[in-house]
Amino acid sequence: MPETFNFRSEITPPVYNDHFLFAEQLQRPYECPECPSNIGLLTAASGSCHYFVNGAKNQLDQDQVFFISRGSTLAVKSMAKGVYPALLFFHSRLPDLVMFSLQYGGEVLLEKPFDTLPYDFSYLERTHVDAGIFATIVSLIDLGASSSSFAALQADMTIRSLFEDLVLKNQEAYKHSQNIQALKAATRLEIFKRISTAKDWMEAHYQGGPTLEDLAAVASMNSQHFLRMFKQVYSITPHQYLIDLKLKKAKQLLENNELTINDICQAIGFESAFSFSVLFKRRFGLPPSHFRRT
Amino acid sequence: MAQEFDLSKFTEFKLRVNVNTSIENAYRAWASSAGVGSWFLRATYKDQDGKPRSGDELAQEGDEYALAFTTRPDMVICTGKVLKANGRDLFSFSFSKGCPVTISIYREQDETIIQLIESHLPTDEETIRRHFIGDTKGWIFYLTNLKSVLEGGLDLRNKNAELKSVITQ
Repeated sequence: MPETFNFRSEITPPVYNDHFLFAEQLQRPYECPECPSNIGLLTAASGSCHYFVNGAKNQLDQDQVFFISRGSTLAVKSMAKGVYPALLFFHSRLPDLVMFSLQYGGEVLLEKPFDTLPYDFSYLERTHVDAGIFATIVSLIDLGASSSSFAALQADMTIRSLFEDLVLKNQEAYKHSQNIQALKAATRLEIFKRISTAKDWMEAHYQGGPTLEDLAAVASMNSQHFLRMFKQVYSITPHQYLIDLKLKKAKQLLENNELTINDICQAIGFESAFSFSVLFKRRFGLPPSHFRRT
Repeated sequence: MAQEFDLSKFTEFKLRVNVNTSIENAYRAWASSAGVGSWFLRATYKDQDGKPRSGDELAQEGDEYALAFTTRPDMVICTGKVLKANGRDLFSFSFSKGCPVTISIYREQDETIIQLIESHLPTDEETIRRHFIGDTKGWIFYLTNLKSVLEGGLDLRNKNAELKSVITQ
């Protein structure tokens, strides 16, 4: 992982000496001027929230979480009464400590403590449709008012574990981004963000059978350029990725439900049960009936 | 007249509970995963090679441990290291914020006393609020449960995984 961040601006991120979770159902409209941010997660516990990150508007609904990186700017404009924003900012040292210990192990950290080693976490900076992260943030809101024994300890561990998952995702994203044949790191990052946003969108809308044009529009790219870039990043075409995604979803449905093959085809957006069965067997080596819940 | 807080008093706290049991039993309740699991949380002790110790095996200095909810074994809430284990009456481990918790077991007035000291706590306002107060509350319940389990077998912990925000978990 590169040890740089914030290459486009000279913004100095604020230092947080602890984790901070802000969550409140607004009793009146709320605004906050643009200010520098450190690493955090933005979401809406209920309703729909608009966060402006680096000047761009991001609408977040349930199950959507925006990962904001250090050195970015955050503003809140006209958040309406009744909306329930939730913002979790991590202890400023935690991201690098987690990254460092995952990379080198705890013992090295003791021998070779770092002082000025900011890793680049910006590969995750976008909206993630992730019910798991969303549920974790909601559980932290509950823990804040909990009378459970050792609630603070639970919260600390939950945040640490959440961030470990994010660090691994960031590492994976970084590896994928390195497949992009671009000279400048900033260009690579920008292309990667657009492609991964389209991939996330595809994962949320796979049932409707999104077209190449739909995906390219989400990525704000020309469709041929998008196709080329997607293949570079993930070593697979968007169409192949979509088929694979549908087959994995079908396998989950077979394992966890009692739906018929036709129902499953319909649920995942496959028109032909025959071609589904052929592709399924090719992908998993066994017919769909083998995975049926007994 | 308003009294100023002496922050140095928040660096550690001590709790004592009298339990009608032997020193050996009380030690096992802390130093073995089966013992810890009977009154506190699901515990795993691993030796310095990373090998999990069996349920009744006593943890040794340098072991690592993980604690999880009994109702949700996948939810690890604390990991740390065994700092001292003399095999008889002294057991210490790192706990919240890495601060040491030291258990001393001794006799007093013909009873077995289990003494817990959580020390080296930072004295910033947030740590005091979350860890000094939070951990004291947590340990009071669990030490009460330890007494109950060792004396009569009644386990006061919440067993309903769907029930949240109760002091019994």
